Amino acid sequence: MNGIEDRLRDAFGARAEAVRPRAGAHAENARRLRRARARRRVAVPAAALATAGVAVAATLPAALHDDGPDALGAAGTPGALVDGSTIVTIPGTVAGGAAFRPDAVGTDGSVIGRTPDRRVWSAGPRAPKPKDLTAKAEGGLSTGPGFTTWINPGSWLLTCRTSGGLLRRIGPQGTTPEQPVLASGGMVVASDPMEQPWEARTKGCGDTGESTANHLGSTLGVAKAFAYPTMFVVEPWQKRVLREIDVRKDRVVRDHPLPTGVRPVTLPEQEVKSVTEGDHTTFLGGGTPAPPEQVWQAAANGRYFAWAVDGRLRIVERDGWKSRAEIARTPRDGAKDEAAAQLTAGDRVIAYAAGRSSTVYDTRTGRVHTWAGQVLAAGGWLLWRDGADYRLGRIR
Amino acid sequence: MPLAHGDHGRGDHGHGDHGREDDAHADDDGYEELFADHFWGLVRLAALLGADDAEDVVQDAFVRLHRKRRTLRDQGAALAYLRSSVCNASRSRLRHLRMARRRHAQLAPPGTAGSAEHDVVHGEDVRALLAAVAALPARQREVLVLRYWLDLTERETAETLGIAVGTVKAHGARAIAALGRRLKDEEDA
Repeated sequence: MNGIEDRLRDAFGARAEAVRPRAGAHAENARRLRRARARRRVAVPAAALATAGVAVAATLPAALHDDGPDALGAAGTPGALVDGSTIVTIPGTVAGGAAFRPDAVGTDGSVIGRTPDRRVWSAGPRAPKPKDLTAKAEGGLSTGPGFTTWINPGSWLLTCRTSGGLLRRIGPQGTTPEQPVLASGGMVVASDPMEQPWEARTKGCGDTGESTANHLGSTLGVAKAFAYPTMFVVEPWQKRVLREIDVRKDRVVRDHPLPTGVRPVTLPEQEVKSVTEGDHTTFLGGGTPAPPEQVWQAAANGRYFAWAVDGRLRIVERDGWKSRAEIARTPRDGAKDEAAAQLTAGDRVIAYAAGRSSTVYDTRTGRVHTWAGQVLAAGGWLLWRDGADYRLGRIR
Repeated sequence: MPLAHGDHGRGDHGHGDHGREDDAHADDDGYEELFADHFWGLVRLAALLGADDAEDVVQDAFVRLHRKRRTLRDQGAALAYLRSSVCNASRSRLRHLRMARRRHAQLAPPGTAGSAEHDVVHGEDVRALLAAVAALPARQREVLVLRYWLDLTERETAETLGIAVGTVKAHGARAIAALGRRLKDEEDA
């Protein structure tokens, strides 16, 4: 794909974004349908018209009501969170019938996900039908304006794909499928296989990125959440802190204790047995096994930091680190639920999807919604499972 | 389908507004869902194609669809019909608009003619590119919008426009070449 084609995509996208939905479209359509029906009825000679000059009022069908935009909002929106006029339906199956499951939503409403064979598909508000990106992924999926990322099976390199189809590697030292790749404000951050964070710009997928500078001379930790320009990095081993790092300056701007419920990691003591015969010593190993790694998720927006661990979703205000909400969930499938959980934060909504249900917290009202299906939030967009398909719409 | 309220700690409890509310009327062969899902996307398509009143174009397209809805085999066919309808109507509107502008320019005193299309102010390069696209013949513009905004394949574009795949390729190639020449001329100027 050449430069003009990429520029066309961007220019069309920018022009299209300027078209803002407004209220009244459904009501206007209902009026036009009634007028069209009335015109057809008047044009057709009616047996009931007995003599010329008798005016008979055409009875209008009651199939449509002029209720305004909210009437259409009834068709699948999760409550009052979403502007119904912006909703698109993303099919839950792709061509061939395989089930499509979203992995991430971008701040531009782009969606990236996979089918069970790990093939990567993308969709979005302008093109709701999932498009095959002719790649497979083991993890590392993220998406945003003009790019998508993933990790090929068996690899530790992060592939970045532009909207024009150009493929590049980004990240100075790759990442692993177990770690999240987080996108915000034109950047992605992730952690390399040595659990050190790095950052890269996503424009054109042209930036190989750099490891977050370590001015303190100590291990920084693993990137868990990102709301540009702040990356949240957890170091549970020695310092046992959650760090806020400004990626513009590569500086730690704030430290917090480990989030409530997140356990520090203690390396087990090794009891090494050995046998010495002459000059030769054989080590027989042994010792206590390492505890299983704790699985937890985090997300952040400009105002809140959220984390989910051991079935509890907690949200704090970033300014002052004051607790805002604590929501207990009862996982339906126990530990399996939490391992595959997704915690995402949009500008207004924080969504925690685990097992077959999601908890959605509206930061504007403080209300908590429960939805029987996957929910993902990013920027001003919300994606949710609705029956066999997914809906994507702009938050009000 | 929505669950009942889950266990909640602090914070307000969720309200009862979950999922699908009872609709007072039966879904009209999926028409209302199609409208909800695609109206604004099609308005954006009409705007990109240069329609002077994009909402009006799309409203008309839906009204025409409503009459035919039972003859269309599924929602996919309905959406394809809507896109074709919007493309055809936008082309007609554009022709009408150009004729109206020509008449207006002939009648109005010098200096009063102005641009009827208002591009959103973005970067200068975006504006230049959109202006170059607007100057293309309607068919070339349609091919570019369907291929590079809707991400339709050449076959899907051909079906939407009712032309051959080869014609789509030719229009696309000519459009890209014309854009390249125009943008280069502007850079050199």
